[in-house]
Amino acid sequence: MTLYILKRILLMIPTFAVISMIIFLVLNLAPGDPAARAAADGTETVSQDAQESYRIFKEQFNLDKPILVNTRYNLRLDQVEEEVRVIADFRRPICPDPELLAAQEEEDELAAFAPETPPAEEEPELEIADEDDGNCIDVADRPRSPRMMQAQEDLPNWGDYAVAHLLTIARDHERLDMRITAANQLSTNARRPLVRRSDPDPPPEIRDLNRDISRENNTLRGWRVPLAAEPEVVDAMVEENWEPWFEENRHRFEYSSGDKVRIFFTDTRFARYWANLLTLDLGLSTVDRRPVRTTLLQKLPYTITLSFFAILIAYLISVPLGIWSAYNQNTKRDQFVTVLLFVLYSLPSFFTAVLLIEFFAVGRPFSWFPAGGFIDPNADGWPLLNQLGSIAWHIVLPVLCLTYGSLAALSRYARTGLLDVIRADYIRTARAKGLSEPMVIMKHAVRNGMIPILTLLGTLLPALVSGSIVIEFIFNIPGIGLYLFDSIFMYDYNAIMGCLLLSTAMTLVGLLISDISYAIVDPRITFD
Amino acid sequence: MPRTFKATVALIAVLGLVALMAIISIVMTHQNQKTLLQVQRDMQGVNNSMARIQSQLERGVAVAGHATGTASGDRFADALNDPDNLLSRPTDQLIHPEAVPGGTLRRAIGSDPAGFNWLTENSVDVREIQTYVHEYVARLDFNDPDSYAPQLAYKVTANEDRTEYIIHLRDDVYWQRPNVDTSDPRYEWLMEPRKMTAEDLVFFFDMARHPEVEAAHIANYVQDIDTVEAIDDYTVRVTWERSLYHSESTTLDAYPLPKWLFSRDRDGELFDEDTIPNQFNNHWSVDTPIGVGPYRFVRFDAGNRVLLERNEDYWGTPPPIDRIEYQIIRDPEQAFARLLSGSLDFLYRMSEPRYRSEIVDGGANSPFQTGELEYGKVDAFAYFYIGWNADKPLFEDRRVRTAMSYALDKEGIIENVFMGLGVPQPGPYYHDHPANNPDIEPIPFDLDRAAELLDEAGWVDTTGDGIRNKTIGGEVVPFRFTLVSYNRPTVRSWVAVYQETLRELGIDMRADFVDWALMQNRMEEKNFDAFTGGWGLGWSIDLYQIWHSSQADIPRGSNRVGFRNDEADDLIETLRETFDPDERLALLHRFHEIVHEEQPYAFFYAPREVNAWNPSLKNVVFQRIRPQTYSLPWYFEDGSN
Repeated sequence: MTLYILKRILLMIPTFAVISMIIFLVLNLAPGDPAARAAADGTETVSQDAQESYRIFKEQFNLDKPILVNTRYNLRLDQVEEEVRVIADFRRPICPDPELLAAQEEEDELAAFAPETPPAEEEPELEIADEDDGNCIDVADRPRSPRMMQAQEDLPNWGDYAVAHLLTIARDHERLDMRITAANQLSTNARRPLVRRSDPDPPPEIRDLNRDISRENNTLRGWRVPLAAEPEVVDAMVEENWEPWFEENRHRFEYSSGDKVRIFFTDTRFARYWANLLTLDLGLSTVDRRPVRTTLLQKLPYTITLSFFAILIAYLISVPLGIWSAYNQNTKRDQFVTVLLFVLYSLPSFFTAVLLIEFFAVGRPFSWFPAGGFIDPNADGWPLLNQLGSIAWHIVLPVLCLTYGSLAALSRYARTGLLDVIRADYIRTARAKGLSEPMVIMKHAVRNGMIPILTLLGTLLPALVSGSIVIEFIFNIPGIGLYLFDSIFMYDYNAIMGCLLLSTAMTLVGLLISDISYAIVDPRITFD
Repeated sequence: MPRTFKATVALIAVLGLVALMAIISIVMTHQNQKTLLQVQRDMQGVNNSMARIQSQLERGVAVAGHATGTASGDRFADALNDPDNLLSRPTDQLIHPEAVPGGTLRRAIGSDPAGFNWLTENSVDVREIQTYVHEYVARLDFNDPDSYAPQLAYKVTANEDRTEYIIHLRDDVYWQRPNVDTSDPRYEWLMEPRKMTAEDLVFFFDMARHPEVEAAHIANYVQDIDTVEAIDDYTVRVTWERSLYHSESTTLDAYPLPKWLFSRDRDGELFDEDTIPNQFNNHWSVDTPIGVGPYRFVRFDAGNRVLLERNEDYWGTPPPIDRIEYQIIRDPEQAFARLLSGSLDFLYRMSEPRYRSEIVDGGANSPFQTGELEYGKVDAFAYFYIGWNADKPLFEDRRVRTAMSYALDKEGIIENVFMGLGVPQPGPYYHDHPANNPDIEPIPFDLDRAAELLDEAGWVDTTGDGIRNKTIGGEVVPFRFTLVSYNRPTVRSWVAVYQETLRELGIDMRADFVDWALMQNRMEEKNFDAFTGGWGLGWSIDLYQIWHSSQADIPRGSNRVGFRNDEADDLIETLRETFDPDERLALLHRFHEIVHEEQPYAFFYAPREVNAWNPSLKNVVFQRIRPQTYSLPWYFEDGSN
């Protein structure tokens, strides 16, 4: 038995890993971006070109890393060059259309007779170049803006791995604008991310480390050149600042084969996530930057209370009911109860919940219960019993909604379980030896007939913690279900992962418990 | 009987007993509480009359001097007579003279605030809470939003071309104390009172301009600031690199941030100067934010509520309502249920089905008829539109775009689908703003005119399949496109109406309902024919991001429809540097004209919100500008609720 349990527990680890990987992949491959947000009514405020904030956001949540495996140490010079070229090309002015140019010249000639019109002021970007000085780009060759966005994503995402190549481009490339772009990109990529940047109270050594990183980053940020810089300025920047710096930090950018293996597996979103998971750290929410674990623990009591009472009451009602109807099998009473239970079963809980609020909470016609919430908001200073009373008063309606639907299924299980054994030989024997009817049913039939109910135990644990999205939404109970719902809306990856992994873990544990309980209850079942 | 069964019965019996005892105890304490409450209420009455006398005394002075009646108060009031002062005397009296102090205002917000770092959080809810807890250098006058009224500054002057602003701050303003556990000795350093000084305002600009601080929403506005320096303890000089129109609002909408707090850790140890911007994003104190405003932040219970309490050390006239409780309610139906059952006092934005069932079709039993509730409408600062992708051959012709506007039955949809909750949107500005050109008639619903325009543009049904087509590049193209629509019930219903109208015209529109993240993806990739959108507006107008042609090509730019017009570009650039109000108005009118001719959007409607409240709440006025449901003027009839 111990061996069996041990085996099962060991098996749970890979199962859990695979499940978490599947959830992780599905989440990360879904279209959309956790940074995108709009007001609920669909209005947005003017978006700013916020590349730097977006980069910090990605860095903070490892969104700049590849999802499963990292091969960026193999990044080639031409890949980096291509992206730099896109950005540089995008910034170049557009060559004038020959036809338009002709028209323009005509106009210019006319304008020559009216010298008092001042020349229009030139915007450096996107203005059509006056002449073809070799530094313009045909409309057809100009990168489209999705391509430009791609380049603006890729370069910062490559981080450290692109530094050496960027330096090569900044030093040696024949095109000046690409050298400038590369040099400026360098001052982003060369920066090091802070350690545990969201921790408001870091230990002193981390704080010192971060201070050093901040200082260096501040210096690096200053090493930029203006877009219209002369070649000498770029030369000077590269020779005086970047090359000495690169020599000093060369170890960061050279990868031994050991490093490569390590990077391949560990410098990825999934590996980072799992490394945190091993210390029971579920990461930070991308929405409110609070640790997901803290939020989950905060929300668990609400959900557990609701589910616990819902399940308890459902069992307390449906098991005796099932026994009763098995005993009265195929009578009018049995049929009536069955029909009633299935009518309840078919009522959707969101519908009932709204009706219950309307009838019993807002004074149409009764206002016996509060419309929603878990406890009176001012209950903080109240005596414990009053607080419990307030909770009980608040959760009557939601628990009712959660309970009635499961009555049908549970009582069916109990009924069938009992029917299976009630015709068995040993029941007839028990009756034959003159035992009273309650004794026969209670002691001999029920004990054996309820074994199928135990199977359901496995589903209890996950039900306890996963909560009901609909009921929590309608009654405004800040539990796990509502949290999951909101997180999905906000693309809050870490929070969704946290909620789902919690259910996963509980399901695995629940299954194990139900298997073990079989063996305990029924001596005929062994796992050895 | 089996042993386990007996045990179970016993357990249930014990549980039942406990429950019974609980009920008995609750009933007994309830009785006691009733008496207590009665005593409390009597006490409250005494307190109220005391407070009323006190506040009327204060107000008597406040009306005269707008301050607490010390000699220095006159100095602040006198400064408004200075012709160089950019600030003017407020024309709106926020605190009602008859107001009765007391009570807790319970209102609702839809989701947990993501955090309370005033600078890095940009959601509407946090903004609103900020206006209660904190204050700005100056505020827009609610009655006359073109001028600024003094708030933390009593005087602001600027040079001729608006490149240098001198801000004179009040010297009698104290920071609130973070709401931490005062018994913990590690927080002792927070206990001493601290004045708001010039250093705090400089710190705001330092943080807003720092690239490591995640304040993207403001970064573009502050990037042209040259220097910000404190001249003395209460005077700040802000210099701009060039003359820009938005420099005024950016400078005056600033607010100080407590440097003494943000530069320290929990124990009061100073951070290294270099790491302050990094610490700023996730500073420990933002869970208990502070300000200098009329209310102070008490607590945030995740998923439940945000509680504010009147700041007893506030420098200005104290507001009548004691506490503001924001209940966090996800479902609007739940919010309405709470309003009906009396556990909510004010509901912002009633849901449309509720508006229909309770107010429009409510009948005599409706709570709005029986006097249980009151309601009022307010025009929200936003508008909705359909954007046409001008880079697609289908919509590059402005006659086609205009025809699409003629085919949109704005009035009909507002009347029949939105139950009148909307105003047809005339153009790119807020509909009640002087910038709207009075000579422009909004495009009416006229299918004949639309058909004419389409014919002119060459879209004719030559194949007889009921759909217009045109030969483009030797190929017959049918007029068929997809409208990327935001997946919401309201949008679904009006899109269906529009679809039907277009079919009559011989246009086949398909609607693709997607959620926000996907929608944004497709707009960034320019992968759309047309989309439904909405802009939140402000009173001051900056057209650059949405309408300048340069914004059509940059990644993630807001000019998604590809609006390119040379004259419009010139106007936008001139507007950025023009300060004279009349000149600006002329330019804005001309811009409106261009947009009207070009019809880059089919301008649709500005939403009208229905707010409902408990009638014991008095003087419920709504402001023309944000925050429109600012509760400072409100009060409870008998000082409690």
